[in-house]
Amino acid sequence: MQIKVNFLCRDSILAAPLVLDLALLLDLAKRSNMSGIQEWLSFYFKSPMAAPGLSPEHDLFIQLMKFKNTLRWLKGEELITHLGIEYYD
Amino acid sequence: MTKKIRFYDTTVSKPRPIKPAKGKLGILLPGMGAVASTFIAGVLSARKGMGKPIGSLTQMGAIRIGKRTDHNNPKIKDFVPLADLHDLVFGGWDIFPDNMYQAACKAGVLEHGHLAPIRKELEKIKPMKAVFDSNYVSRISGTNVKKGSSKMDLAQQLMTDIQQFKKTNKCDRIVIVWCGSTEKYQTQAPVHQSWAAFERGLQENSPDISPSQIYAYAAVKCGIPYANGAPNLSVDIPAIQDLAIKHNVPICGKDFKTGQTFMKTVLAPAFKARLLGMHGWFSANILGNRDGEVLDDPEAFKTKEESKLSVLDQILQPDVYPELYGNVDHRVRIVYYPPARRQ
Repeated sequence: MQIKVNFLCRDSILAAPLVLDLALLLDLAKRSNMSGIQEWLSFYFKSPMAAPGLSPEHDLFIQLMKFKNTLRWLKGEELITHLGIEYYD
Repeated sequence: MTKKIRFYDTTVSKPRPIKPAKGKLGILLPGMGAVASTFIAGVLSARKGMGKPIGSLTQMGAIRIGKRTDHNNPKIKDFVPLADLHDLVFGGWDIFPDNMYQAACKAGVLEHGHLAPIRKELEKIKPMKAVFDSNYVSRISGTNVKKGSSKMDLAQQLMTDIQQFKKTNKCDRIVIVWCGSTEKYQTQAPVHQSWAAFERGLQENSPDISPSQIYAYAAVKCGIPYANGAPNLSVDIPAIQDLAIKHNVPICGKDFKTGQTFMKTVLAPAFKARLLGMHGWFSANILGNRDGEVLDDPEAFKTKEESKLSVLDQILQPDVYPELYGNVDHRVRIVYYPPARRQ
């Protein structure tokens, strides 16, 4: 079996919103008194940095979950695990 | 070197104190070419209501809060206090003296119709003189370059630039996002292991300290958050990471996930989820811009290749699934082909 993807894109147009998000989110991190490696921003990177001894996460959807849960954690909201069993008796 | 991992207490459900996003936020960009000019033009257009910030989670994304039955999905920008687009000020450094209108025209990414209404604002944004070292980026050279007696002197010049920019533009806060070129391949050297060794290296002009590391050092020393958009080691060294903790600065990197790797980290988890085995993954990038020109150098390509190759192994876990992914032939090629920029 074979899959071919021909993604004809303009890299700078794809990068521009990432620059905006990273600038705003790093500023948020700073105002939230977070320091050092911001693993929750892995979502934006090809080769995410992680603490020594931790392997970086590359899966885009796990990265997105990490990102959103960090925002919830910052605001003291419940983290979302997508368990689902809590809705059934 | 083994290091203790710091744990935040994530069980506490009380909100962390977040300072409000008051005043102006200066965004400084080392490297003001295609990415930087497209970014700035995009924000200026969005501010005028002439375009939407497509692809930006902070501007267009929503986040579910509470139970599914709550139906509470605020916009991310309404949920956490972020700087408003109208409060952003732009600046940076580049080896070419082109203002952001000229840079955007040369890059050929956005069309004239997009640039014309914001031309005056773009023309006002001009790069400061850059720190450049042809040992690290060999395929391009420019005239808008700093001279210094040592790498420490160059770092201090950058810190002066940052403070000057902050004052002139009346910024409350600054962040730095690297949008410059990929540097030649580099592994960690002794000079990268501690900030004391790094500072000595700056003074003694250590050949192991790259320009992007000088920017990162200057940022962290000034207490300014730093994001690394290229695969350069830059902030990915203990010296800068320790300094970031010491100065209470958030840092992140590396290498923006945009085209090919973005697709790869979407598709690979799908095959992996269904446990569909794999013989190989061949990827080719055809690039027609300055990025491609720089990556045409084998030393720069090696840095990029390493960044792009790391992705599949972590997702596919060949050590856990040797019979499915133990023998994946993963190759990445980059071809610099100038006509591609016309597409």
